[in-house]
Amino acid sequence: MSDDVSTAERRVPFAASLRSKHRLRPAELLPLVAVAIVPLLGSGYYPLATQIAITVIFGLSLDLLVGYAGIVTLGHGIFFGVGAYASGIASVHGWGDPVSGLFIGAAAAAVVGVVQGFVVLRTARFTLLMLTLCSVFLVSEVANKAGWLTGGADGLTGVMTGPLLGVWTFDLDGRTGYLFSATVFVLVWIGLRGLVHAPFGQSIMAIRDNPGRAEAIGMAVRPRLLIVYTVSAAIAGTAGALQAEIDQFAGLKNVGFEISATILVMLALGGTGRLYGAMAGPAVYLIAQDLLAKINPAMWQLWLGLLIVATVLFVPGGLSSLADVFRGRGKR
Amino acid sequence: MVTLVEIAFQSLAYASVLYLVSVGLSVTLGLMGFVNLAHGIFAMAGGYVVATAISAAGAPWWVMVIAAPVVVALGAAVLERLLYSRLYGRGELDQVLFSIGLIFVAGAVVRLTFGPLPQQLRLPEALLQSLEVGPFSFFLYKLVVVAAGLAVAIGIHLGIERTRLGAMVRAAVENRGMAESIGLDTSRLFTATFALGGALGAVGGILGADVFSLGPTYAFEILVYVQTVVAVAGLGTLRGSFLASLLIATLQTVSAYYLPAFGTIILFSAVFLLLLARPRGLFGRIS
Amino acid sequence: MTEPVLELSNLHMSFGGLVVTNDVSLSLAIGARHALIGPNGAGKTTLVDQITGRLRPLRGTIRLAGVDVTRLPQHRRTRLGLARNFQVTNLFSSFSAFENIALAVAEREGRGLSLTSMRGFPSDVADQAEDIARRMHLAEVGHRRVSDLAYGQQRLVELAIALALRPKVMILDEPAAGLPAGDHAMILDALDRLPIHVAVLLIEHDMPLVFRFAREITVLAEGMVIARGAPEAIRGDERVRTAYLGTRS
Repeated sequence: MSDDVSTAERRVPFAASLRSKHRLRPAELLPLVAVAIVPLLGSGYYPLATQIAITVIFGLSLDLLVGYAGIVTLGHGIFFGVGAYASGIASVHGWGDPVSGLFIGAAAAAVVGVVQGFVVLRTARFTLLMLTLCSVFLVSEVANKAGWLTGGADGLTGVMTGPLLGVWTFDLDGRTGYLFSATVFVLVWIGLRGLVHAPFGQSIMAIRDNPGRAEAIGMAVRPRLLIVYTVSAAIAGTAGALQAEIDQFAGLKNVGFEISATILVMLALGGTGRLYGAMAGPAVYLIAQDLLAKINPAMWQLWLGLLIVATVLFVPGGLSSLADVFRGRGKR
Repeated sequence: MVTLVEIAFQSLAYASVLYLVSVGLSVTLGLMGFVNLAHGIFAMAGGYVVATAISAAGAPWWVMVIAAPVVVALGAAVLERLLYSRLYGRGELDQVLFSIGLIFVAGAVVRLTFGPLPQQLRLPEALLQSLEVGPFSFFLYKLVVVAAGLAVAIGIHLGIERTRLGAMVRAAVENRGMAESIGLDTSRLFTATFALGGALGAVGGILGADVFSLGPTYAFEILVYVQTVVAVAGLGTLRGSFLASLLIATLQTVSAYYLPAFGTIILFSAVFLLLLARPRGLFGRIS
Repeated sequence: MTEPVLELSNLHMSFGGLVVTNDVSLSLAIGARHALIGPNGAGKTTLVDQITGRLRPLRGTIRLAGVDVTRLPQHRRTRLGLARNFQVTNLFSSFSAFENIALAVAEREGRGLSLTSMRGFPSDVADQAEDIARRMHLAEVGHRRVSDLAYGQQRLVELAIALALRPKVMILDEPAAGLPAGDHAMILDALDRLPIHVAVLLIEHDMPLVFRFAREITVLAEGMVIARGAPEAIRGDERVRTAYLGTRS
């Protein structure tokens, strides 16, 4: 009996270990530090930093699907594009308010997400991959052909983004645009961090691990995945809407296979299933692209390709898993 | 009537190209469960080897149609041994990424070597004429393409049914564990079929150079068509690929004749609906 | 006699022309300790799949605590009080043993969609999970990832997950499968400590385990119930002996 008591005392209670597992780590605040540093660098960095913030939001939305729910998709660009077009079209028709524009983009993407998700989530693995691939070609072709609505191949012109909260205009040096994008990024990050550390997020990861078992402990697996899919679509739509507002343009490059494949590559380079991977990947990718692609696009493509191949072969966890190695935690 | 025959002929020729570039993937995906989005690089390699050999060394087209696939097959075998084989059994995300990376590398190499513009693959003069049969006119080159497609389809069919290698492939596709337990060397089998798939892809890339033009983005542009054929045919089937190619080619050719503006939309809607109704494809056994 | 908590009436199932479940009826009262035995290919696993909802019978009904669940999906049956383990260990591999149990607790409480806690699980869920783990002698290894546990401990986690669902009926499909005979005592010990009001249906090949655990036994052969009764009666039953010997020859 006394033996039992002493072992119980030595052992950390489960609730306490959960607290330490899910606590906010100092390293998680690094992106926030980076966000705060950008304005100190001078206005020349605003465009790149804004693009990183937008892409990171998009990457976070994809990580929710790929990393947490285990749904590999080649068609996530659909939601980015729908968000961009929706807020762009609203703006062309006179609704240029940037904040509500984001909600318009998110809502449009969520609607498309719930419909498409309802259909494609009935399948898994290769078939699911193929259905997302078909969807993305379908949607971008529809955007191409519906010229009266989307401007077709020329893109949507005449997008006018109004002043933020009716006060700050989107100036030429990109300061307002940056601060707006950075704020949205921080909010999305806080929201997603809450979600994945909540019981809901844990249950999504459980489905990723073992859908059959999840069903057997009473989860309605497909509806739950559909919720995640829709949330992810809405966030991707927010990112797209933000892109359209900053660019004052929406076009075929915002939707389609290329952007879908690129964001998947960025995410995987950073590492899936850990939100900071979705931040590191796009940031490193876009900075490297900014430095290298200007000099020689083909060389950039070569190095990028080699980097992807090497990452998959040697660092399957992506860049962010290297941080674990440095901290000596190995794969744990 | 003339138009119908024309459509049927065009469909058949296009189907032959689709079949050749994708049948290898059908086998490797079914056999190893590897989602290889980069299968198109073999077709691209075949096309570039031939185009270069003809324009730089004046090699005869007929010889290169045979020689280039052999070269590509060797390259594919090396690639399989060195890289692909390390990723069998990994999740589809890793496989998808790896093959996207490979497409980037192949595209960049091509662009650095041959420049960004598409390459011309010069065809022999003898084939650039039409064969008149009554009111119908057939482009001789397309007849060769159809003949090659059919020959490969029949060859694979017979090879799978009649030869020892075929029996081994069939056994391994249908039940890998069983095949291994009766002592098949599946890893060598994988390399061999991968190389064969690469060679067939190369033939498709060469014969289809007029349909899918040879540029640095070739592998990305052809990707969705190759994957679509495989998905429609279904995994773990070796005979479904030709019918799937024919189906997709006919759909695209017919819509190109009558509804050219909506060809892409019709194609992908149809494939989407088909995969929903039959997630395993038309003839697939594995989902 | 109280109303049975699990009641199978005239279940019938076939694949192609092969009848795998032939007019099977079975009922479990509260607190039942019932074993389902039979030679390989008798249709035990198919029957389990019909009870849990992975397969739908062609004819017949399944009632769980008075509710007809024949057409309900698996997760609804779980919520109505049916828990199962899996023959082959089948856990959430990236989570610890505690977390595996906590996932089940959270689902049972209908808090699987909750966003209120940001620590994985609310502390009351965590405490319950830890409590169940302790009862299954898993407290010491609860922090370890389930994939790092010994096989026998993984089998215990399976049981703990089923327990966490606070089921009315537990279907235990070969809980000792794959374990060396020496470890059977551990499983048997865990089975002995299941709450007494839970009705347990045990599917097992290991006869010593069956005879120690069960108070009633149903014997299935070729999809049909060929005998039912107390363990002593089954032990001496001639038909049972022929059914077993028949498949061995």
